[in-house]
Amino acid sequence: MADGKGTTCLMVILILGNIFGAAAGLALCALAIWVAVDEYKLYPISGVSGKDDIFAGAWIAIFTGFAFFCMCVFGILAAAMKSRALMLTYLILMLIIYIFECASCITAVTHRDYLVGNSNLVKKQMLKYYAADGDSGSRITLTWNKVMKEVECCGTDGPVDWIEYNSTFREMYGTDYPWPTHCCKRKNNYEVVNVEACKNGQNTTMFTKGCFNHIESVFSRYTWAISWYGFAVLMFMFWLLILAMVYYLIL
Amino acid sequence: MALLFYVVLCLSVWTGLCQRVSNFDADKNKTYIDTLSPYPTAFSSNTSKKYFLTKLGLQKDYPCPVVAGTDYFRVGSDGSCSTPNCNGILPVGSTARFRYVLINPANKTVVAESLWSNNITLYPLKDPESIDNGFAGRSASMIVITSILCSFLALLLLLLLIMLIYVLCCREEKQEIQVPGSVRMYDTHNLKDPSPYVNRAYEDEPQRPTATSPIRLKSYTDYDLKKPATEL
Repeated sequence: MADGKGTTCLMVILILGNIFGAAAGLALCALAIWVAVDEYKLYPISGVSGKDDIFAGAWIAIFTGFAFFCMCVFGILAAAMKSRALMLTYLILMLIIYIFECASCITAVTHRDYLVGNSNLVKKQMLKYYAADGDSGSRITLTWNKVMKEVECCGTDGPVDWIEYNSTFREMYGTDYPWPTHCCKRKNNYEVVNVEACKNGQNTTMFTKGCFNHIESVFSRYTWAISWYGFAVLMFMFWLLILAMVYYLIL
Repeated sequence: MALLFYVVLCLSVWTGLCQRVSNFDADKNKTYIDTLSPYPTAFSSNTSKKYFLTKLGLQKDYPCPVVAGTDYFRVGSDGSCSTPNCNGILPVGSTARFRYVLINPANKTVVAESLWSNNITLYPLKDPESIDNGFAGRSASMIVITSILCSFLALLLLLLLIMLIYVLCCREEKQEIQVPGSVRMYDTHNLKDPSPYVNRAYEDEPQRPTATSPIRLKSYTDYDLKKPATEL
């Protein structure tokens, strides 16, 4: 070959790039597994509304991350063997995986916007499904009870949501309890500190901040893991593929 | 004599002033004031008096200083009730005022009363379906990610296509015959060329001192006796 040294240099760069890409792909797979596991247990809020593609993006990213890992190992092989057929296979398969990973990133970030762009969707869902019958109702109720207890918050933007709007909760339980008792502060033995004061809205005995901040931060954290990290991996893979194409041309 | 402590709730409609104050004030001096406008009928129609009295209790039950837990009075804590002096809920979204009165238990006349409170406007109960959860706007990160990824993907596809077309159409003369395991090129011995024979098939083997040809034949177009090897 006329430019043997150039080819060897490019081969070394490609091999190093593929090693890094394999590591990045494996990390993407691991991060996507973390998102899919949903440690904050907020999936029902997105699932009931039908806008759960943050998790769909996570599932795609599990597979594309692992596929990137495998393809990069194959790419090391193809570059070292200086084989045109293998390099072409590598390029085409990497492109297919690239397309799927793009889809994962874009879908995760757009659904995050639908879900937590503003508090309306979460609030409407809470008012409609909290204390409602049925599968959706029970899942939403359990999720909100968990969030209100652990994050020490009440309602979406505040306890006022419960009295400003009609809700399934109000229709079921009447006006005696303006908001669920999970909004009330509890002692360590899980007893409410003062039910009457909580019903009256005394802010020393109940939680007054809204839960939307927490919910929004959790979904944003999941989305940034999938979409921004996926974006970073794709930017790296783009240049790697350009180099691989050049290598294929001079091979 | 033990005095009874009552709360009077009066409803005003739309003007921000308690027009129905006048209803209570008109009835104030009559006897048996607690039965003149019982709760169930107080707000039921346009002609109702729009005030009602809710019994708190005997004066002795409310000593000073204030016992913990008694420093507030929750209007409507009885819910939708039907006794004449129950603490029922006010109509949704209404504006109300209240005052405290002391009543002589014998003939139920007003003995003493506080001033009317300020207007208290209740929350109108909005329908949750009125919340618009449609388009929440696009965040900046979504636009950045989508646009950059889509354009890079298109670029990649384009470059791959160009590369494939270039390789297929414009580089025919540079294609090697990939025949594994067989001789790459075979040049006949030529008596006219007295140079020592170098079998180029064994080019890849470690160079012996006698082998001098450094050129590796790159192409082989058409093995033809009429045409000699193109490169030497």
